[in-house]
Amino acid sequence: MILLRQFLFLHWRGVRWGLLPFVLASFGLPLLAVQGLVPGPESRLPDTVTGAQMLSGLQAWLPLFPLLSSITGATLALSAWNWDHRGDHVYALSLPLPRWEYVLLKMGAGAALLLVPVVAFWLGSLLATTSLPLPEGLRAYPSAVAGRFFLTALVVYAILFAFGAGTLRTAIWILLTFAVLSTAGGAMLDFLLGPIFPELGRFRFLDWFVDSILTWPGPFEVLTGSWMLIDV
Amino acid sequence: MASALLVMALLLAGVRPAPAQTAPSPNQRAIEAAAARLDSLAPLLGRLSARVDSARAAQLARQKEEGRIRLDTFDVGPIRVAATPGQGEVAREVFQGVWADWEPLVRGSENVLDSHVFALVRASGPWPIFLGDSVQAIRARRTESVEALRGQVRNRVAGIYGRTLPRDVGEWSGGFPRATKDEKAWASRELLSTPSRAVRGCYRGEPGWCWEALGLGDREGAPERWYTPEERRHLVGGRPAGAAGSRRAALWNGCVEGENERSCDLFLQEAGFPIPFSLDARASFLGHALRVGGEGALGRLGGGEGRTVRQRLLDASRVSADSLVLSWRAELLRARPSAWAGMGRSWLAIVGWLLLLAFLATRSTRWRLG
Repeated sequence: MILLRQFLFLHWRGVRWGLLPFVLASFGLPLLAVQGLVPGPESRLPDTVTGAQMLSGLQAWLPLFPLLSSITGATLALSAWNWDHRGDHVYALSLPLPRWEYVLLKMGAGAALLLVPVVAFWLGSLLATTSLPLPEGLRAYPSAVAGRFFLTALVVYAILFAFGAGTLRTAIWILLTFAVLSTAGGAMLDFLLGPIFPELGRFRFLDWFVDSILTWPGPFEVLTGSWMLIDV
Repeated sequence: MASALLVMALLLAGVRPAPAQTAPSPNQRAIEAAAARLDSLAPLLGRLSARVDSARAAQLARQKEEGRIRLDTFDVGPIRVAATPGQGEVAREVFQGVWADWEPLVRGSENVLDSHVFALVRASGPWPIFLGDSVQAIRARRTESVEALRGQVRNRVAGIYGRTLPRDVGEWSGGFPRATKDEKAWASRELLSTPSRAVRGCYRGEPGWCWEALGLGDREGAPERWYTPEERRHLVGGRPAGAAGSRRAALWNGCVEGENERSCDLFLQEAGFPIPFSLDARASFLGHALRVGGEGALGRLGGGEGRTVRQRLLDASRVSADSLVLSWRAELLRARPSAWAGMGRSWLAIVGWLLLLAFLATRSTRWRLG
């Protein structure tokens, strides 16, 4: 626990100013999204129209929530290894810790720091939704959206953290393999292998990959749920 | 000299080739020998030709045999299924899932499917061609999911039963219900958010408004009852204005910018007043009426001229008008979509991925050097 606190403190020291814009954005985005959704006091619009306008108005902001959570997770992941890369991992290698423990403590510290922007987002969502008079039939879901925000940030953080834990050579190999499979695992595969192995020839790697990560139990299945702060 | 010439002429007249000069030339002998050889080979050629013909015939028979599609057939409820070998289990799973959802809607009318065979072929291609109107071919790639196959089967079954609907019911509902969970969730969303006075009245539990919102109330003055003036303006605002300078554009501007009610009404009269509940919601209501009606509901829906759509639905369901719409409303409220849906299993998946990624991070080559 003491070690975890130390790692947390180190990571926080390294990332606090870089994280600040994301904390502010996480707090402010829900408030921005509900701006203009409430009709003025002189409006004669019925409840039904207000509700429909609220739903369509929120939809324009929808893509920004998962985008912000992904960028927040990525920032924390990349900043986790900043010092180590600069110092050629001398610090890590000099500690009397098994290396796997070092990596896990670092990962845990970064995941804990994720709570800062997530709580900011949750507070912003609560404030945004409680300030709105909701029409009949609609409900607010600040906690559900904050939960998705956290899960998305966490999974992006974990993926990039794992990348950062490896060597540059490993990262290049992985990316190259992906690029080759994406391009060759398509029409070229069909052209080369189609006559001999018809099943393999019709396999499309990119389609399969996107489908796999977006459907359960893929890591990004959480993105496909509802991100509406206000819904039926 | 003359006598010598005479003797020569006489000699020439009597000249005949001597026996040595009539013997065949070497070329001619070779030709004759070749001809004799060829003649001796004729029977062998005949035998070989016969063997070639028989080999070709066998190859054609093999190709025909390979090209023949072998199908396993079995029944799932009243649905007769034919699937390629190896696809039987998947086919059974698909059709059992679909029939479990459909059976409550079509009880007593299963015989509609009697003359149809559903052939499921899951391959990379080329797919066989099935001839005959009664064969419903479900073709899919091997990589397509079971859910996608179910969707295809549902569309086919809906199409078959859709042809049994009375014309006015079919036009009103847009076809047979799909009997999916999404159908109710979508209708629920409409009940809770459609900008229409009639739908809001239905949400509040007033059965008369539910019938209005379904377009099955009194048609006289219906649009003015369905939508308030502000809702009509909102409807017009959501439609394309039309080409600049046209009558439609003028009406649109008058309605949306000028807030003129008459412009809104004229615009909607030309463009068409939409029934507050969409086709999907109406199909969901049709499905509900059939489910409530139980055995023979579909049969009671059809037949008998001169009945309105509302009367047909009530005859099919065999319950009172208020009871039918209020029970449907209650089902829609139970099927209300939730933002929390699926979060539990998302958590589970992400914890799994975290563990895997943590393992990979600790196993990096950097940490295994030395």
